[in-house]
Amino acid sequence: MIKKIKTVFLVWLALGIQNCDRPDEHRHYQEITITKRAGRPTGGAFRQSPHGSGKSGMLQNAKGQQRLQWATPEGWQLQKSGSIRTATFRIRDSKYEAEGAIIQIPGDAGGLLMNVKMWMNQVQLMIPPDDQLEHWLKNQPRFQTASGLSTVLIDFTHLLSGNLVSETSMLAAVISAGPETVFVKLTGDKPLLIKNRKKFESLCRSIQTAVK
Amino acid sequence: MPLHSNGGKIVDNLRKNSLVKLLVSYKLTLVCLCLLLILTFWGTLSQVQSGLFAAKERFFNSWFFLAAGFIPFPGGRLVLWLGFINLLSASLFRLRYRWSKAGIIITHWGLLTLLVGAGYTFHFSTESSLTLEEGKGANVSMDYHFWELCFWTEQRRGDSLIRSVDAFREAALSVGKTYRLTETALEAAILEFHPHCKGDKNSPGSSGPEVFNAGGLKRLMPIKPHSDPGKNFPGAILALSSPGSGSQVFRKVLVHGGDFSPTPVHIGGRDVYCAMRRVRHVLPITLTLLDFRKKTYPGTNMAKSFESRVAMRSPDIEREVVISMNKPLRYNDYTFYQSSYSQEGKVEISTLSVVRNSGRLLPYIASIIVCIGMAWHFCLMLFASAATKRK
Repeated sequence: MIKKIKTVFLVWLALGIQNCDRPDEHRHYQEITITKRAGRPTGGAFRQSPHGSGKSGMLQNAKGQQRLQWATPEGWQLQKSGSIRTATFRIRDSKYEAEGAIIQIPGDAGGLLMNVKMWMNQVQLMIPPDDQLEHWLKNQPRFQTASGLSTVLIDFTHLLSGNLVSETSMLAAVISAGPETVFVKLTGDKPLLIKNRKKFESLCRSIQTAVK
Repeated sequence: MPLHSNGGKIVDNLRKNSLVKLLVSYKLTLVCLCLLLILTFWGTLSQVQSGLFAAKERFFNSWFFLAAGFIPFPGGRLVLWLGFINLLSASLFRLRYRWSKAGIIITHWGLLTLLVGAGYTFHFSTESSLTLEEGKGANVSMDYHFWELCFWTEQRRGDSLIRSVDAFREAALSVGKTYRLTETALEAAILEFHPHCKGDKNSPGSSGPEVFNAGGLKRLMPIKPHSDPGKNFPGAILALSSPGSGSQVFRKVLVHGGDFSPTPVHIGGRDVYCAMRRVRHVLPITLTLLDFRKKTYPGTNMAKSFESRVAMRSPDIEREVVISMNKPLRYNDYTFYQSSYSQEGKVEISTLSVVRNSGRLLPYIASIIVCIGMAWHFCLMLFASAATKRK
């Protein structure tokens, strides 16, 4: 028995030492370089639509990347965005509120799994092992937007938060737009998110890109 | 639990085991400490001639090295591992778990935590640099020492240049190996590889005259490693081909670490770029340098402080921050330090040092544990001494 324990311990130690710092032999990644000396990013030129009457929004990213068009859902207020967000929305009712955003990032921005884990952390959800999470993500709804961009919609509202006091949750969508990834997020009080889930999906489906 | 019970059969049996006795012995502790002393002294003297990086690799990062060219001598990695096993074994098998020994036990576990933190940092942390001109940004940093063989295609989207890169670590390269490129479905076979070499433009080498390199190099000549790691460049000659084409070779390409630009190969209607370059570490955010400012001491040109105003961008973070000396930017496991700057004409360039270390809190935790242990032990001794005096 002692010999077995000794042998197992030594083998474990040897394997651990051997494999400790073996870097990946082959990596595949996206490298993004912002090359044009554009100076300080401004808010970008954009048109604010009136309070979510369903009219379309269009925004040119401050860095002159792909223009996006979408249909702002009814009841959603399009707000003035910062230098990096393409669009910001605000939703309110008598009790709850939520904030939405459209963000364009060159490349894959770290990939779906990494971003989902970050979002789960933000809304205090327990992060399962990678294989379980990948399996769950495969079952999330997928569709194409009006301009044929593949989209995966991630609904965290039906997952139990680790903090039972907090009612904050998130709806997110990841849209592959060629060399860019468009993230659409809605974060806020869970009841309001559940109520606006269909509108969130319609916003995602309405997103179109126009190459500059 | 048997470990906490002096009468535990398993622990008692293990204590009698000769291997455990060796691992637990004070002699092993003394040997490790002496070896560490020798290595520290020797490595410090050696770095004068061989350079800091070479001395560190030889004396502290190795399992063993050859002293005087033929005598095997244990390296820092082996000694620290032995020290760790010695301390762990002592904590498990030699220490008697009683309240009167609580301070010593806590101190032991604090030291173990310190060694674990050091090991974790050594194996899993990375250090790299990110150099940006004003107005420019990137999502990768560059390693200081290690190299990779890269192949990529480029796409330009507005102000962004996006490269889809297949990278192979230089340490894993060897003649005869063939790599499949994910992005382009090409194969790259290594015809020649030299970890330290220089390029020659004048005459072709054994790979033939049809070798192509953007800088006009025709062959590689192996040389002895330089003491300054910044002057050591690896190089390789590759045969690019399409899988299943048998012996058909599209192009023989020469890549060298000293090339100023990558070597483009036009295949299938697009350009595939080949390069031997420093390893790139992908960051979770894109940093764009908005403005760099240098403050000097009044009346002098001596730099007082540097600061970089950067825009950090990821799907969840969009803000501007200022990184200055002694005020680094921390994001998840990453820390960005203001390292240096330079100027090319009117363009200011900022260099940030990027450290990724998810175990950075372990040394602090270990120090706190050791302090608690020592304080506990000293207090116990104090009270015991006071009680004895009273008697």
